[in-house]
Amino acid sequence: MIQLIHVSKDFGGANKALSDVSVEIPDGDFIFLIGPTGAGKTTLLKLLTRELHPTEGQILIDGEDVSIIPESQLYLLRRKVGMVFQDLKLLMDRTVFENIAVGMEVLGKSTEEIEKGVIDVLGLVELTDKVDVFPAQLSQGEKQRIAIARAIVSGPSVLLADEPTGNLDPETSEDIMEILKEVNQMGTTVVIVTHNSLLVDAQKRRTLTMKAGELVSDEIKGKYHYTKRAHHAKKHESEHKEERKDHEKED
Amino acid sequence: MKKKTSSLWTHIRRSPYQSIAAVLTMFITFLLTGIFLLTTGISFAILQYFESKPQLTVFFLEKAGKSEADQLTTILDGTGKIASTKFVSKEEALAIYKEQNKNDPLLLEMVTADILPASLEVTAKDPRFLGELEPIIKQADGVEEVVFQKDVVDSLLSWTNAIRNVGGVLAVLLAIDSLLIIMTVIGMKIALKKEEIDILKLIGASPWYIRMPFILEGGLYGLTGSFIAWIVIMSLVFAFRGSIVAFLGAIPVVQIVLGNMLSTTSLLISAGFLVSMVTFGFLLGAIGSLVSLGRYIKF
Repeated sequence: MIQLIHVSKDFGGANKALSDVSVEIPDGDFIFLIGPTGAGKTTLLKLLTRELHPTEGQILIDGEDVSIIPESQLYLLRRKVGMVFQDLKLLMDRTVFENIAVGMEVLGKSTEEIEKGVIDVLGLVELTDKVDVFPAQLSQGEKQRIAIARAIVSGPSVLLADEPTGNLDPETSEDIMEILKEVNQMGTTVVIVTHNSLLVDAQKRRTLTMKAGELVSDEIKGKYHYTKRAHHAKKHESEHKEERKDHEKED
Repeated sequence: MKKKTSSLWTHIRRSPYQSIAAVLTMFITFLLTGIFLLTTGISFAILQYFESKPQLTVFFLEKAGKSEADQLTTILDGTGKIASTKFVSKEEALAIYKEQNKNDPLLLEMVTADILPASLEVTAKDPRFLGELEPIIKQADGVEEVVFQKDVVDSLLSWTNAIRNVGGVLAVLLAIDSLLIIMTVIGMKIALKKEEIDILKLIGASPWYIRMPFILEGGLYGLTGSFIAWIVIMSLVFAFRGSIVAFLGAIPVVQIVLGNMLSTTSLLISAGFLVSMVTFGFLLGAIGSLVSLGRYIKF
């Protein structure tokens, strides 16, 4: 279970990157996190992996307060929370096998376990024929899959994917989404940050919408266009309320 | 471990000039430190040799002999400050002289037992007692001259101290220099691999998983440098073995170690020297890496 309790993040500018965000994500959930650029989606993910500290509020993962984990113990959190980075962060001088294997090496697994784990996960992302290839020789979609494979090979309980379908054609994006759904079916909580409205609309999964650092909607079966409209409606409604209050005061 | 070794090898291979600089610095440090240690060791052996010798030798007049020596021994024993005494008769003195000059027949021809004085070698329980014993010995019957080993030992002691002090300071300065070089080299390597380190941290690598290849790398530089230094030092010792034995052969330790370099004692001492050098080399390199890691990577 992931819990964000009144979480804010202030980088010192005019606007807060995150403002009083509270949300609960149960184990095994599959969630889309959407919103325009600069809404605070990536900041939220970075708070979950403790790349950043919240300015206010608490973040609990399985009941453990992420903010108070000592630096020297952070690796234990990051083994629990896998991440597919927006820029993928693949090791360009290592082969596909080595890139994925490193996710298990850091856990101290044996060579046999690593070989089996890597082959299994390569099967899941359908890239078993690319085992000895370097990332520079792969297409963008293949690189995305390798990044996913590395994030899941160690069996994390949570997978955060930051724009896993960015710059991909619709067909490849659907393939990536299928992989993430499979990962979710294995029991992993999956949180996907995306701008891909077609995918969000097609999946009909829980969707959190952020704007200007605020969580503006949390829909059980969200839709990209629907949530945007809801945000506008909500904004319009609150403006209308303010106007009514002003009128009442004048009267 | 296999992965760590290959990662370590990759680290070294990607920046060979820095690696060579680190190994060379370590080599020079351990070469000079090793030579200093050997010199100090030999100095102490020489010192010990002289200290184990009788601290003073009493030479008797030509007519005097065993009876005067016995008298003197009784007097000295009465002071309670004597560890041992040994009487050397004229005949024994001649035998010693012959042994020392066996390669020079001309010197042997001219000497008989009559012209060599009998003597008494005296060792005090503490060298500080020698000053008190001197007037007692000089007043005894038949005594011609008293020769102190103290003068030789004092001179040797001042040399040994000088070697120890200069060598010690030099070794410490070189060790600091090596440490700084290792820190710089490892620091540069950390900077080169910063992106990879950041990725490893984000995917759950423990601090020790990240540190270990760098620590091993620093350790390997120290180990390699000290091992090469050991080879060079042993080659030098082997090359100059004859001269050393000819000059210091009277000292038992030198004779045992260098007399036969394939003897068990000699091999054990060489192996001990090697183990000490490479252990210290590895530790010096590893500590340099650790300091650098603490400075450049925050966990």
